[in-house]
Amino acid sequence: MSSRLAEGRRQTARMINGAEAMALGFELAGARIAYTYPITPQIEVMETLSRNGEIAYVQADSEYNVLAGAQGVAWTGERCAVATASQGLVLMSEVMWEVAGNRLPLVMGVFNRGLKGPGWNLGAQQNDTLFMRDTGWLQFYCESAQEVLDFILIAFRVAEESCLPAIVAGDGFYLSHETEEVRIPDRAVALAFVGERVRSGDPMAAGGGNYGGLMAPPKYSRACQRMHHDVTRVAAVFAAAAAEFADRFGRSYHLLSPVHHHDAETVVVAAGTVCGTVRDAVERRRRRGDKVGMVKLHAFRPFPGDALLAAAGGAAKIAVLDRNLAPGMGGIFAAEVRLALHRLRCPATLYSFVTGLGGADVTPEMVERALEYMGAENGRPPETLFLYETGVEE
Amino acid sequence: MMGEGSASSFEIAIHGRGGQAAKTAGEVIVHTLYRKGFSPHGQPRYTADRMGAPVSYAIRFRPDRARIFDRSWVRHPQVVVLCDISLVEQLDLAPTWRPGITVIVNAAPESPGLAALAAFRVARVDANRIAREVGLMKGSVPILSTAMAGAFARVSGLITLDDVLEALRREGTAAVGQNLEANIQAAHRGFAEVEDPVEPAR
Repeated sequence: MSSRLAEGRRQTARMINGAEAMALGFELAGARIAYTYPITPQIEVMETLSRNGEIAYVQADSEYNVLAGAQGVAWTGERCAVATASQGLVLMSEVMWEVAGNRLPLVMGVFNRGLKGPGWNLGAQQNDTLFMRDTGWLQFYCESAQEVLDFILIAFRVAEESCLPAIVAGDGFYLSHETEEVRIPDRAVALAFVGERVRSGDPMAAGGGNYGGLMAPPKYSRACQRMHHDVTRVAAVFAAAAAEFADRFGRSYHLLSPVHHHDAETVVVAAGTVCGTVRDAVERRRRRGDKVGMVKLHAFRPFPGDALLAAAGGAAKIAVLDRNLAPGMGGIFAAEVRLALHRLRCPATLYSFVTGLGGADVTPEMVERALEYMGAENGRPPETLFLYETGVEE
Repeated sequence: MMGEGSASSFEIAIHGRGGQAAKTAGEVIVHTLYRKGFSPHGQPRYTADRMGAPVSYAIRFRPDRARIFDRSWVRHPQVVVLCDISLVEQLDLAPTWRPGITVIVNAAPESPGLAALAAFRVARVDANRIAREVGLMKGSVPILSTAMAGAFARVSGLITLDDVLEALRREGTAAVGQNLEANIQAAHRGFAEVEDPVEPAR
């Protein structure tokens, strides 16, 4: 055992929910200010932070001002805790671009919740964070409360090293409110991992200057180009941070995690809490001798398309389960996978299943039903399928 | 006692009405199972949270103590903790339960609602009376979490009364901590006063 792992073993196991795990992540990362505004299912993050006497807890008058305030904190070089969901995140959207454009390394926790479309909704749906796809924010998705805490710590490292803000997302209620065991790192070790705030890439590192004014097209386009390249380079930054995290705390993370993929003829790809349900279904099928595997996606930005196909590209059929929908296009993760298949000339057939919208439950039986559908179909499947308890629909 | 819902998982459902502390009962049982070496997931279910509205809490764990992955809602509980018997009719719960499962119900002796539970293994405890007598009241509503947790310990055999008491002392939620002694008394009485389960009618 390395001495660092021994050090990291000084972790306290406790039964907490994902909202508390998120708040703890911010505390352990050394955030001294929390900007918040109440919204379900994020409220317990706020409540937990508000009980921490060492954090200046500021309640803004809307989510727009939460992010505007947090942006100011980031300009000073302090770490700030920000968490929201659904309508709250959408209300922040104008500032989201500015934060990323200014290359401020904020970390935001989001408990995914359906947006007010056909009606109000409180259940889990990833459209709130995926709506931020093009802002330049990194996006990480979690399956467990442990991952929420761990990814907040890793996200601070990655955000500050790459000068890009990061969202750490988890399904509302399934993660925010479920109580489960979480191993909580020792405070000093967590802080040593996150490290001193790296400021070399901060706008302020160059001294004073004028920011936020009109930028001429040539300069603007180069800044956008640079941001694009920096997002793609995050894969390497993440790998280094995750390796150190594993060394210190004994938990290993990658941009994606494959299970039973080596000999799999069919691979199911998912992100978020549905991964646990997929895992159960895959294990059941394996016990019956079916060559089924899965890939859990931790990252949406950067999208690990190459790694995904390295893990699952040998399968004849790939299913993507999306708890989100871009009407007219289909599942949003599936669209990314489709692009990667095309770019890498992978012949696997893609089945895109949209499921669990608005917090509708996704069960192992439903995942098995999707696998049965794929087993029975040998033609070219419709671009988008909808998976319900009652079965598969177009 | 293996379930078919999730691969070899054990599932518990707790039903009550807002104000009866059904969720706190769930938290107490989850913490106790955890202290006993299991790795449970506690699933509070949120609807319109107001006094009297139906609320529920579900628990899933593996008897072999392995980690749980599936997070779909518990649908096939092996044990139900029922804080309010009128919910059986209101939510049409009985058809959703497999025949023969254990239902730990808060009900007075000869409660007319018990007839609707004939297909199940029913353990009755008058938790309303226990809560009233130990002074666990919120206005006129008895707070049932610890009496029901005590009854659960006795009937399920998964945890002991001492485990429950230890969890209350060490990990009691804020709600329980405010009135720890009365809650400990309620857990004792729930354990002592729950009747032996009546096997389902054939």
